[in-house]
Amino acid sequence: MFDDGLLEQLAEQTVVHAKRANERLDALRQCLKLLSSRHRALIEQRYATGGSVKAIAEQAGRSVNSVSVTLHALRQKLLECIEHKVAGEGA
Amino acid sequence: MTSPDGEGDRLHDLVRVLLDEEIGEAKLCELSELLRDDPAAMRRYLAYMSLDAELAWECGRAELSPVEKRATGAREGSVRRRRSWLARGAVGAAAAAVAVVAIFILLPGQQQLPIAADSMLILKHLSGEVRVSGGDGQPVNLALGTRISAGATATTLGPTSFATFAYDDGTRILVAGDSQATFSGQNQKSIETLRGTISAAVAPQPAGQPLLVTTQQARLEVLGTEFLLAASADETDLQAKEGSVKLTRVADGESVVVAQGKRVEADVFLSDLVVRDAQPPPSTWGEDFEAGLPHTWMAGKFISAGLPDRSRGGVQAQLDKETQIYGVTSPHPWSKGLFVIHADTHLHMTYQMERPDWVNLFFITRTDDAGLPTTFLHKFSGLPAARADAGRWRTATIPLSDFQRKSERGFEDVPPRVGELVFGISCSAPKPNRGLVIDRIWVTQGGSGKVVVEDVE
Repeated sequence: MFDDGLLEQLAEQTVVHAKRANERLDALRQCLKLLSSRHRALIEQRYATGGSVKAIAEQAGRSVNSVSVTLHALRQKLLECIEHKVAGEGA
Repeated sequence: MTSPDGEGDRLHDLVRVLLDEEIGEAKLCELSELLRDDPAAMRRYLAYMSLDAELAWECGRAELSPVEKRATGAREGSVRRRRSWLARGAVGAAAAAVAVVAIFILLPGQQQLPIAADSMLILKHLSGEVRVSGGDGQPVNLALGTRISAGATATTLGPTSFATFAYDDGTRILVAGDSQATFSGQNQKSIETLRGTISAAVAPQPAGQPLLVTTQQARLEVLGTEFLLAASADETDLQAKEGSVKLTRVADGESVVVAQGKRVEADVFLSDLVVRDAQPPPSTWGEDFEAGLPHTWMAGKFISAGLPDRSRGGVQAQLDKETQIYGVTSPHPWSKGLFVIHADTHLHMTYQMERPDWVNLFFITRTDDAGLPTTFLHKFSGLPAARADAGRWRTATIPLSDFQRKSERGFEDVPPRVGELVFGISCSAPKPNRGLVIDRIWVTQGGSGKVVVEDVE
């Protein structure tokens, strides 16, 4: 499916990303605190041991797609926040 | 992060499905196409994968996500991620490594990076201080998924460090504690370990080409089994957990076959090679130093004067130049352990301080969930240190349930779990030297469940 060139590009990008892993983890901790308690609970449910979107949806009486869309919006928000903080520290 | 165009929206949607649902081959192909020749899309993709790993870490999920399982080919429940007292750096490295692993999910049916012709092992897990050098002696940059070539040497430093490696045939090797192992051989696997502990689950090997493991005293031939090996300059200790392993002593060529549930020790004194039943770890432990300080102790200085009546030996705390703390440290037998924890296990210590100050007691435990070790550090810092106690011999009794477990947030009121194997104990006091001397330290099962400190009569 992928040729060697694309694999090499992916590998290079990953190395760049990995170098800032500690900074990102710090930023993530701060950004999680900025979420509302309801949204933070959703993230925690999803990423707790055994957590799945299906289980959350069943528990909340929502569709899997709806929970997934909410979760992904939160991921986007967290990524924005992390990038903002990491960029700020690096400036 | 708002998507500037339709392609961006589609990338987000595909990543969402990948992370939260079962992604089909068609969508996977579509995702691959979106990433092709688009560095911005690749960066965004890797950012999501990394965030997924970081969230899992931060929220305490013990198992790999479905994405990671797909990426690593892990079986359900077969791979667990460590949390607890991992160093900060290790947390970051692990999260970053999952981002590396995330690349593999885009390679169904292929699932590997371009590899060197002599590549033979892949790094699966690491914890603590781990170094790998290539056959040329140059350090290898470590990340989960790193391919290791023939001739590489893995070194783990410190009692709680470990690394696991996998051969392409599924054979898994754990290098743990203060250990070193060199991997070589192409068609026939070969490992040399001069010191430390390795544990292996060996897939069936081709006829006539067993996995060879050499230590300073012995040579092992393994056709397919699980075993635990502890090697030092003086002794090789082999335990077969499954199947059987042939051990040949290098010095005289004597051989024994060690079957499942058995163990044998080969030492420099050419003692008889006796295959014995492998005993479960004991529930008690102790050292009174009457016969001197055993050479396996990691820190402390033997003394024979100024001790309680009838005692002929004790150990004085020694300065650790790195931490600038005075301490006494037991051996760290990773494989055998010192003792196993029960609900009513108590630690006792007869000790004296010339200038009383804080004294910390630590012990390290390990578990082997799903074949992957997890280590924990525990601390007790509640011993009284009044000036009036200067020079008095006292015996402290501390239930192990009163120790605190270290997590990434520090030491917390979480006691050790029943069944954990203790493989190291340490006692420390601050600088300048407080004159800490231990006459005896021992562990029992049973006791009052309370911390008691009494004068020695």
